[in-house]
Order: sequence, then C-alpha cells, then structure tokens
Amino acid sequence: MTTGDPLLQLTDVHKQYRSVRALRGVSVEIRPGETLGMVGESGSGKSTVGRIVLGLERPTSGSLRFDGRPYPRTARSLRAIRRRIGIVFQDPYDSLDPRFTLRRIIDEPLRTHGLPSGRDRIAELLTSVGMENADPDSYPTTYSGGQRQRIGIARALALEPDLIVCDEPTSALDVSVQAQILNLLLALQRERNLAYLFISHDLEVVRRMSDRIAVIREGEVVETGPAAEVTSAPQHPYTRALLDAVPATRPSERHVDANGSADPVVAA
Amino acid sequence: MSTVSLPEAPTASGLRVQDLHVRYGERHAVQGVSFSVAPGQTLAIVGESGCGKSSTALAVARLLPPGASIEGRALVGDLDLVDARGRTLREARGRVVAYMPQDAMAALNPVQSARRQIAEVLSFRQGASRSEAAAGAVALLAEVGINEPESVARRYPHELSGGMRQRVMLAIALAARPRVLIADEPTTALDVTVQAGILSLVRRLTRADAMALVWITHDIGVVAEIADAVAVMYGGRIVEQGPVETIFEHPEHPYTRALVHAPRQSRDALPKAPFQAIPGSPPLGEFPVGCPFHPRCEHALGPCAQTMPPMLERGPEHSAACHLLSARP
Amino acid sequence: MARYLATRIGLGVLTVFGVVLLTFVLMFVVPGDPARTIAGPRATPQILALVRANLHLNQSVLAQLGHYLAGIVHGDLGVSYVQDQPVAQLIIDRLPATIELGLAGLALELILGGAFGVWDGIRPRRSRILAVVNVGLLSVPAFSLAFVLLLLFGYKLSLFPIDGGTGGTRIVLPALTLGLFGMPYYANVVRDAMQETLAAPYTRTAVAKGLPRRAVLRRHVLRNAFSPALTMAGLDFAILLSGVVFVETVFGWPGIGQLQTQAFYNVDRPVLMGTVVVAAVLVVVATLAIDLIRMAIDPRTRLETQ
Repeated sequence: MTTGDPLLQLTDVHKQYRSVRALRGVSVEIRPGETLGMVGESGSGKSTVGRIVLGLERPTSGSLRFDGRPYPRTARSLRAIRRRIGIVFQDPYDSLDPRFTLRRIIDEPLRTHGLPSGRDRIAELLTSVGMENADPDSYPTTYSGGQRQRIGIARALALEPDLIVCDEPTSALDVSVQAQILNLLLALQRERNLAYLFISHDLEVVRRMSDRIAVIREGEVVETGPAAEVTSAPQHPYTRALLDAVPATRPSERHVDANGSADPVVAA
Repeated sequence: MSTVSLPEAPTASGLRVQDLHVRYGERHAVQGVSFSVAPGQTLAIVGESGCGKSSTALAVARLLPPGASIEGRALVGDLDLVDARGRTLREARGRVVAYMPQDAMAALNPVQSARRQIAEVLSFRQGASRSEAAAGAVALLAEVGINEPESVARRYPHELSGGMRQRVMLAIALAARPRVLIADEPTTALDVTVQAGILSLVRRLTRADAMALVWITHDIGVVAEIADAVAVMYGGRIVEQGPVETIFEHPEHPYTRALVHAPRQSRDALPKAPFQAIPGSPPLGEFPVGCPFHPRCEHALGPCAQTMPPMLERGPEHSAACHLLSARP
Repeated sequence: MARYLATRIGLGVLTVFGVVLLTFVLMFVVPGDPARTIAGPRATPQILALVRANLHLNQSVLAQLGHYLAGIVHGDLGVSYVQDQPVAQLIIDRLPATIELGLAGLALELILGGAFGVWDGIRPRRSRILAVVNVGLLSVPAFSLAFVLLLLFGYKLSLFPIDGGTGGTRIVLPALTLGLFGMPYYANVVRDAMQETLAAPYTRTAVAKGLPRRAVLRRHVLRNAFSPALTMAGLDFAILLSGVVFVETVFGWPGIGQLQTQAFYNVDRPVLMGTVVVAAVLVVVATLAIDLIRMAIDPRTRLETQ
C-alpha cells in the first residue's frame, strides 16, 4: 500500500517571509495511499508546508514534485496539480459559505475544473461521507460542526484527488465528534487509496492517523519515522517534550504537581 | 504591595453553588446545577460545546451578557453572588470572585501595557499609590512565573506570546487576592508544552492562597492533570460528579465512561486502527426531553426518553444521574 | 521611525507629483484660449503672440510642465490670468481662513457626533432621538441647512453676522453648518464602535476587576471607541482644508473654495492648478499627521512601521 514512487516529494524547501524564515530546508515525501502526519506547535511552519503543497504559495527555494514531475511555474499548469490535491480545513464554520446550498458547495470544484456534476454525483458524495439523509438544497447553517466537516470532506472528494491536505481537521470539533471524523478519514483512505498530509498540533491524534510522522519545529523537521517508532522511541528531545506534554489519562499518572515542579519558568 | 492595607477578605470558605439556572430568553442553558468547592481545592467542570459549562462560569463570576437571567445561589461565606447588586457586587468582583477567560488576546486591552492593566486593580481596589501599583504589577508578574517582569510589564498584549498573555491575565485575576477563581478554558488555545506550565502554576498559586478554583474545560486530559473533584456536564445539567479518582476509575454515567475511557483506549490502539466514537453530536440550543444524553446512549431504555433521571448517591461525594443506576443499585 | 517618515514623505511627494501631472493634462483638455482671456476679445494677433510667449504657451506641453514643476520647487505657482497676482500669494491670503473654518467644523463634527454617539452607545437599546436627528440631518441638503441656520440665527434672532462681518462670531454659523452636516456620520460610527467596545472581552475584564463604571468607560471603552472616528476625521480634515465650496459661498467665507470656484468660472488655469496642488499637499500632510496620532494612541499600529 505504501510502496512505489512517492506521490509528493519536497526536497530542501525553504520559505522566507521578509525577515522571517518560516521553513528552513524541509524534505518530506508521501507515497500513494499513505498518511504523513506533520506535528508541531503554533508557528512551527506546519501550515506553511500545507499551503506550499496546495500550490497556494511558492517556496523561496527547494524542489517540489508531484507524481514524479516538478510543480509547474505558471498558474494555468498548476491547475492540473491542484485538481489532484484536496483540502480539508480546520474550521467547518468558516470554510463553508453560509449562503450556498450543499449542492453548490460540493459542485463548485467540479464546475471550476469544467467537470460533469449532477444530482447523482452530489448524492453519491454526500453518501460517501455519511450524509445520505442531507438535503442537497439545504444550507450549512442547519448542520452541526461535525456534519459541516463531513460536507467539507465531500467537497474535497469531489475531484477524486490522490492527496488530501488535512489542516487540523478536528481541532474545532467537540471531543465526542472528533473520533467520528477521524474514522471517516481512515475509511475513505482505505476505500479510495487516498494519501493524506495530516497536519496537527496533537501528537496522539497524529500517531493514530499516520503511517509516518514528521515532527516540525521552527521551520525544521527535527525527526521523521514510522508513527509507532517516533512515538514509542523518540530520538529528538523536542519529540520527547511533546510526548511528555500529552496530558495524563488518569489522575494517578498526572505530571502537574501541586508544588509546581512541572512549571517551567517562561523566558521573557 | 506590602504597604497596602487590605480590608480583610471573606475568610476561607470556598464556593457553594445551589440550583443554578441560566436563561437566555427562552433558552434554558443551565438547568439547576449544584456543586461546591473547598478552599485550596480544584473542581473541574468538563463538557462539550453547548453543555452549559461556560454559562455556569459566567453566571458565578456575574459576567453574563445583558439579557441573560440567573436563578439560584452562589455562596461565598455569607455572600450570595447571584443576589449581589450595585456596590456589593462591585466590591465582590476581583476580591471575592475572579475570572480568567479562554482568549487572553481579546481579554486584554490592546492599547494598554501589561503594567497598566494589572496596576489599575491595585490602585482602584486596594488604594495603592501610582508607584506602589506599578511595583505591585511587576511583583505579580514575577509571581506568575515571568522571568523578566520589568521588561514584560512595559509590553503591549500584541508583543507577548500566548502563554505570557495568559500569565498576565492570571496576574490580573489574582491581584485583589480573590477567594474564588473561575478559569474558563484558559489553556485551550495554547500549545501543549505551554499549557502544562500554566496548569501547574494556577494549581500551585490557588493552593498556596487557599483559593477555591473552578476550572472549565472540554479536555478530559486537563481534568486528569489538575482536578481534585470533577463535575461532568451534558445538556445544561451535571450528569455526574465526584472526587477525581472515583470519576476516572469508577465512572457510572455512560457519557462519563465514554469520555474517560476514550484517551486510554486511544493510547493502547495501533496507528490507523479505528477510534472509539460516540455517535451523534451534543445537543445545541434545545435539549431533548428526558435524559439529555439518551439519543446518543447505547444503553438507553424507555424511561430515558421521558423523564430526567434524578441525581443518585453512588458513594462518598459521588453521584450520577442515569436511569440505569436506579435499576442497578 | 526615521525610515518610516522618510518613506512616507517620499510617497507624499510622489502623490503630489501625480496630482500635478494629472491636473496639468486636464487643463489642456479644457477648451478656451488663456491668451485671449488675458488680452481681451479685441486684442491683435501680435499682442496675443506676445502674451503666449510670456506664458510659455507657445512651447510644448512637456516644456510647460517643466516650467511649472520648476516653479513649484521655488514656491512659484504662476500668476493669475484674471487678478494679475501671484497664485501663491492668493492662496496664502486665503489659507488661514480655510484652516480656521476647517478646524472649527471638524471640532464641531467630532464633539456633536461624539457626544451623541457616546450617549446613544452606552444605552442598551438604540435611541429614537438619534435616529430621528440623523435621518433629519442626512435628508436635508447641505446648502439648505446653511440657509436655515442663516435665516434662523442671522435674520430672525440676529445672533450672528449674516455676511462679511469681521467679529469672532462670524465663524459660528459656517462652522455649525459643517458640524451639523458631518455629525450624523460621526454619531453613527462612534455609536457602533461604542457598542462593539462595550461587548468586547477586554471590557468584560475591566468589569471583572471591579472598577467603577465610569473608570471602565473612561479607561477602556472610550479610547478604543474613538479610534474609527479618528480615521474618519483625518480624511475629513483633508477635505475641509481643500475648501468647502457651498459653505464658503453661502456665508461669504473668503477661503480657498471660493477662490477655486471663481477660477473655475474664469478658466483661470494657474489659480485652479495652484489650489489643486495645495490641496494635494494638505491631504498628504493631514493623513500623515493622523497616522502619527494613531501610532501614539494605538501601539498595534507601531508594529507596521518597524
């Protein structure tokens, strides 16, 4: 399932915003049907990687290849690649236009790329995300956060992409709903041999979702490896720090103690 | 701050909330919530969006938006916060009850320095002079674990990191030495490595001052880290409460069980194995008739859809509201 | 900071240059022969040729533009065709009156609008009074407002001079007209900002501190609530400085607006050009001043300059 040539390959990618070095030589690859989990804290550059992969931003230097071919430089030729890469956003409230019906939301990528759509196609997409009972002519505001995220996933699937960039896809959702969405993503991957770039700040969720993990900090990938290995035998101290910061599952294992010994003094 | 003479705050008495209701017009967001927190202890109120946990927090802190109405009692010593009006209420703010919100960036005035925002509590509430208040602000910043307090005091909110902003909020909340601190998800927006520092800091400071701490969260992991006691809210009510060990080791309500077990099951699961999920989503706006959890409960019986189960004693200080429990004593 | 100022001033010079270029081109599309305007309808071709040579009108457009720009650098804006005086002198004579009226009008707009906005903003519900006053003022054309004030306070009550007087009170009616004309906009902006600021989490923080209500308003609400009004005032001030034609006309106020109107009817090119150039310079200076004030008030805006 995860053998063969990489679907996506980033080699020594740098990104500079004025004086800020957002990415300092990121090299990762994703094979077809594989999930690469990218875990890091705010400001680590993980979302910048996502935007570069989607072709929304150009790297300052470094090479980007999709399906063996370098990313083209013109916007027109980039469309062909964009068609094969979907996106699921973090906030299902912001990312769906409240004035559009579900039909129009899901239809839009198809029409943008001049592809056939239609009643059956919409129904099929809604069914594939467990929303078979939803009325295509209803509006997103009538749905809960979890249902909206399903609609967002249906939109991402419309173009039958090979890769989906999931940028914190469950961070805005309730705890009990997160698991449903993650299960849906896992099932869709099995059915369709999708590859995911799964971006999250939550190491535990990344471990569960990924074949391989890249730990990113301050624009650099400090550790990569199979999910189980990175989380059970971390090599980099930062990975260990992230693992240690995952909250306990029972009070007898808590790290925080009342005397404040787990309290690192914040540097000014 | 040593030069400021403090009027004696109500002596350590903790917080007792009895049958609290919050309504926004027709919407009955909190439907009879009761709990108490002893001085120096931490109660975690855990629940999902729309469960009424934030309304409970704002009601006790008396910071609900105009148009919301409160009923019930929230007692700190002899003072009922729900009843307090005018000068009594203003005197109680900050000194009896303080509030720490989730989004520190929005909760700090963007055009004032950290020093000014902390110092005004000292000058208005404790009659500190200008220089005393300024020095007091720096001392408070040091107390909340900031390394170079003089330099941080001069900065504006947008010049601070998320963790430092939340520490400034904590300094503001603690400035008038409150008896009760209501913390409404103050670490939710922070990175995990920063969150751990804030959690232990708040716990240490509230213990040292014998403050009653109410910590609102959606994150059961934070509950495991910080709480002495837990109240689980669902659909505007507390569905289970008890000491933290009891809640984590012997949960009785199906919702609590799902919440508590999910992270452990996850830790044991292999990559790419399916997650344990509760079907459906938490109710928003209108709560279902009967037990609010019954539409999502795999054990639901006939009565669950008809009547709200009463709160049943399950052990020392442990109670739960579930029809299954009356059938199975 | 020095670098920021240098950049802003550089941009300002560019803006003024652009305005000069644009108006210069526009002047050449305007029909009419300035030489004939100056020399009169019965001038001989020889006189016309002489006049043209004097004014460089016989040269190419580019050469004329060059002459004009060189003049600007030396503070020379040419000579009025009609009044036979240096344009710079004409403008300088009228500038104080314009600035005086502009400042007075702006102050009244801000005070009236601000007071109304704050009064309405601290109430939980929108007051009917403000709505009625606003709609009333907005639906009256500005010049009829001026006439109403003139009739009421000038003729009927004889409180203020009607026209051409010299006392300190003669500014009251024109300034009041400007103030009442601008008030509804400020009142609305301030009221909306008040309500937003009152509902802001940092106001809740101030309440939670147990500050007296007046301290909450004074220290946390008002400063933030006036921020959008300040931006508006900056743009407004620039407009007022370039002369408000209707008020100056109705009240006989000897400002730049009047000068401009006369120049327009006389096709007095140098005066028209001069007023436009001066207005451009004033707009650039006023916006820079407002941005500097903003920086002093709101530390977040300082970030962008570093």
